[in-house]
Amino acid sequence: MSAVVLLLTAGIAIEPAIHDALVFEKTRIGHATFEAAAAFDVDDDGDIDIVSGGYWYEGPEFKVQHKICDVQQVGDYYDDFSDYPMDVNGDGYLDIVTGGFWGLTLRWRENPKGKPVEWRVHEVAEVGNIERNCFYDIDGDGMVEVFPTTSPVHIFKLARGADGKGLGRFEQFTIAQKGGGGHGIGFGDVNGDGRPDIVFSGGWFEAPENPFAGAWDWHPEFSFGAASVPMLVFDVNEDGRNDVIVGQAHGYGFSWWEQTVSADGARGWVEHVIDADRSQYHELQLADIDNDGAPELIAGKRYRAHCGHDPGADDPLGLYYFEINRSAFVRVTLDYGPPVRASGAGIYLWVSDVDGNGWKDVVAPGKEGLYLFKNMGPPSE
Amino acid sequence: MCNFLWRIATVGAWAALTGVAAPASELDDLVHALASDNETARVEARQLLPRQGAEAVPKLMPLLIHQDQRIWRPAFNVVADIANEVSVPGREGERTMITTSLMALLDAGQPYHIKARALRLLPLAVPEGADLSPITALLDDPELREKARAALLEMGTAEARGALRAALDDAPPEFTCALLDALGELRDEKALPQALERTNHADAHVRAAALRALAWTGNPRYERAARAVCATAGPDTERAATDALLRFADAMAAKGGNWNRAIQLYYDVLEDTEDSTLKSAAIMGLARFGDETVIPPIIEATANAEPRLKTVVVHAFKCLGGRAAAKHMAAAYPRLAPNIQRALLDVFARKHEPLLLPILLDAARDEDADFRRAGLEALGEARQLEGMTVLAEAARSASDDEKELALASAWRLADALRGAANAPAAGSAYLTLYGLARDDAERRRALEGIAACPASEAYDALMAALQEPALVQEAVKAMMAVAETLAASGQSKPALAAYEAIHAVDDSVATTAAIGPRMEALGAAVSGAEMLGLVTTWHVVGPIAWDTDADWAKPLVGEPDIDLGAAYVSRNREVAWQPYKTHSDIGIVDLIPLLGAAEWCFAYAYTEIAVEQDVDAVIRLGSDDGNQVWVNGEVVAENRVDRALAVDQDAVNVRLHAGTNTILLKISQGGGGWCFCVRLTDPSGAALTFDELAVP
Repeated sequence: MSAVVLLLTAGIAIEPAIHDALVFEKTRIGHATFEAAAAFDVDDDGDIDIVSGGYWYEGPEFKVQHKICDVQQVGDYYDDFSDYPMDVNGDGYLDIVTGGFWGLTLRWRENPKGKPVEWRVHEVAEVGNIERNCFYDIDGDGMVEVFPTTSPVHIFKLARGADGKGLGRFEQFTIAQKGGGGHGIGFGDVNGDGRPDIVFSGGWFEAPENPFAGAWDWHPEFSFGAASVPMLVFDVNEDGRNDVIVGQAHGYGFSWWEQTVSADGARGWVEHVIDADRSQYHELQLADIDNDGAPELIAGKRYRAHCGHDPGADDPLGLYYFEINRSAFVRVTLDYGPPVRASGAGIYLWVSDVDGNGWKDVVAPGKEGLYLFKNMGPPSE
Repeated sequence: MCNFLWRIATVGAWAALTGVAAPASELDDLVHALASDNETARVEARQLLPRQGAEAVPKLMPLLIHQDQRIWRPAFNVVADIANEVSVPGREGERTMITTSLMALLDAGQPYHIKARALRLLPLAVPEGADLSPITALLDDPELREKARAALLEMGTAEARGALRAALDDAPPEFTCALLDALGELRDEKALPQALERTNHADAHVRAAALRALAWTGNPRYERAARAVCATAGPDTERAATDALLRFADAMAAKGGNWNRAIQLYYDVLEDTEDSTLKSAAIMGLARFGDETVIPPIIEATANAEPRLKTVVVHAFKCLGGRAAAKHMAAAYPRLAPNIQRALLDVFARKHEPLLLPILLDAARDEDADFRRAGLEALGEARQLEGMTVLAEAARSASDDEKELALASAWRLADALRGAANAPAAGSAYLTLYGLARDDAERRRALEGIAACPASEAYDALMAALQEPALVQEAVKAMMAVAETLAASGQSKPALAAYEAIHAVDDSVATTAAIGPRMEALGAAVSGAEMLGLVTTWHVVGPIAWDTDADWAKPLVGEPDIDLGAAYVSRNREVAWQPYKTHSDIGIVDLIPLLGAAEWCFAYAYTEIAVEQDVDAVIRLGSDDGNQVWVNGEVVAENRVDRALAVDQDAVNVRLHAGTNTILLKISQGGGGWCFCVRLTDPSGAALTFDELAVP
């Protein structure tokens, strides 16, 4: 039993006190327009490098670029809808797990131990249109599994040896024949049983004790539309129940859906609008940007998400982080404006401390270009 | 002869100038000529000397320091030409040579005007790495320091920047400002600490200049200092300090990453200054970089402002984009002064934003005539079909001049929708315009629009238009497009009726060929080929060599009697009859794919058709190239011609008898294309009814 209630709440997002805002240094990296990026030490020289699609850029300056491989191009898309660092073959160098809508295939690109040669590409499985790979530790072993966002719903678990090192192959588990695919996927404990469930646009799968062998029960409790990838399962209002934060990937809208439980135990979902008037919130992440111990919500517009055909396609680009104060989302704008000068969020952005100054930075790819927003912390003289 | 004469003439002048005997090289000759009294020689020397390159510069120095401007000015221009010529990478050696010569003019013993002259030329020549100490020394000279500073700014080399930085230490306040401006203009990062330090300078003018030198960075780390400069500015420096703060905000906003800080700076300027120019600049900063949240502060800042500042709202709203901004603009609109509202109508229209359309629609129906006219104009730009209703109302019932305006706006709207590839809306708009049209020219224009953007609701109007002789040509095209749209959406019956209506008014080959297959696909009783009387079934043979002119008349395959089982050897190749049925809309038989590319040859084509009774008929033939025609074994036509194919090129009157009739063609080929098409009509041009027989 569930109920969905729509509550339109205008003006939730307001600007914060400016003097507390963090200082960022924005830099354009290279000239490529892939929509996914990550930051990690590619060549084991101690500096964090930036990877985006077919190239990686040497840190800490990111001026020198190296080709990784050719990436299939379809119009202004690249078949590269995620770039996740994972030591797949256990050689001590992080490889890249990727996949895309057009190539239909989950792949990993083998890091040639940081050498300036092209990377070998390995096909894991043909799984259909991958809207974006997601990565989540579904079995609680401390290592993430790969979710290619397809229907049927697959989990790919890296096979590891006794020493915990990757063996260069993945085990594939199909947990459901229906549900999933296309837009919207999120991970987290919906029903409070301590297990991470999987949320899709039309409902959620309840995790069994053994995620690879047990039956996942489907709860079709909502309809989030062409939802962001990922959606974020997070207790927004701190009432002890996880809610779901959902962007509209190909239209206007950005909301959090409050999980309610009535006196008779029936679960319901109430929409609270974060931003009704910006479009193509395709990518969301939670990370503690301001080092206050609580995560911020990082999000922005995916430029030309459907090649200029989405509602709001011509509106300005924006990249933001939102401070979440219980149910209030306070927007801080990292960048805003036309694509010739501003950055959006792409389809797979990366948040980590790239320059080692103790503050998490944002690597924002997209068809408008690849940008690094170095977080310099609070202003100092 | 002329060259010789001016050489002689210049020798005396050179000797008078330098006191030495005249040299003999071409360069020397030209230098002499430049200083001569011979006008023609001077002009020629002025033109030729720059070709001598940097080596000429030392020799021009005596001329450059000459008192007579007829001598030093051309020398100056020649040196400038040479310096410009070598100011490219790879020619640093020549630039150094020029620099060395010019630096000598800065010696202490040289008068002011010579040094000034050299300072104008040096920025053109000085390469990276050059010793600038002669110029640096002038930065202490109250008379020449500004010229020296300007020269160093123009050079912009590392040494020039270093010299400007070094001069900051002992410069008086006024010159400190000039030095800081130069360093700011050069975006000299090494000067930033010195500039930051001078934001605490005792002189407020220096503090403002220091902020200008920092402004280009947009670095939030300088924000506190920037604010302090503004806070401590006096009445005579407030404008300069605030201007610098706005430049700082502009740079911060343009760089990105610190949007909220930049926007807050604009807000603070709006709140703190009474200067309308600075307020305008802050508002435009908000507009260029801001989002929807800047709209209420802009409205508040201009609410009680002087009229000029109020108009800035119009420019600001023009800059702001996106649905969120449109929503806030719509909310702010009712609170604006009427003149601003009116000016905004065009701005809103050009945003093509549905949220702003109600404002335009209301304006177009306003009681105030000026407002109403502005609204009607705006609807023409808004690219939203909803505006057409109001425009049509005005075009029908308003005053004459307003009718004209509404109609013009309606045309703009329809054309804009078409340009935006919104075909359904554009088609609907053109249909409205068809109804509003005042004459056939306008009706034809509307029909052309419907043809390009077919709207199925135009069906009835087009049925009527097909009956109008003055409109029939455009109506046919429009109805063809509409019929195709109907067919594509599964509405077969009206689509077929549309094609039949077209055929009733236009049975030309081109139109019939276009609609015939479509009608056939929709289940029409007759095929496209039957509608045209096309002969589509043939037996063909070739290529048969065409070696002499006599071959035109020679029976090459035994004609007029034909044996379809026979084979022939031509140019060592055996060829035989082969059956072929064309599916071309106009019955073209392309012989090259069938028989192979060939030159100077013939093909023969044979068919049999049956008619129910004796009948006069016309064989309408197109051929590439020429043709000869037999009907029932008799030659009925021959056309020895070299041409490309067109439908109905030749018409041959024949008498067909009841039952089977044979047709044999001989088609010549010189080169290029090789094909033919045949259709049978009655003498009036209507398609003949006949059966194509399957020839064994």
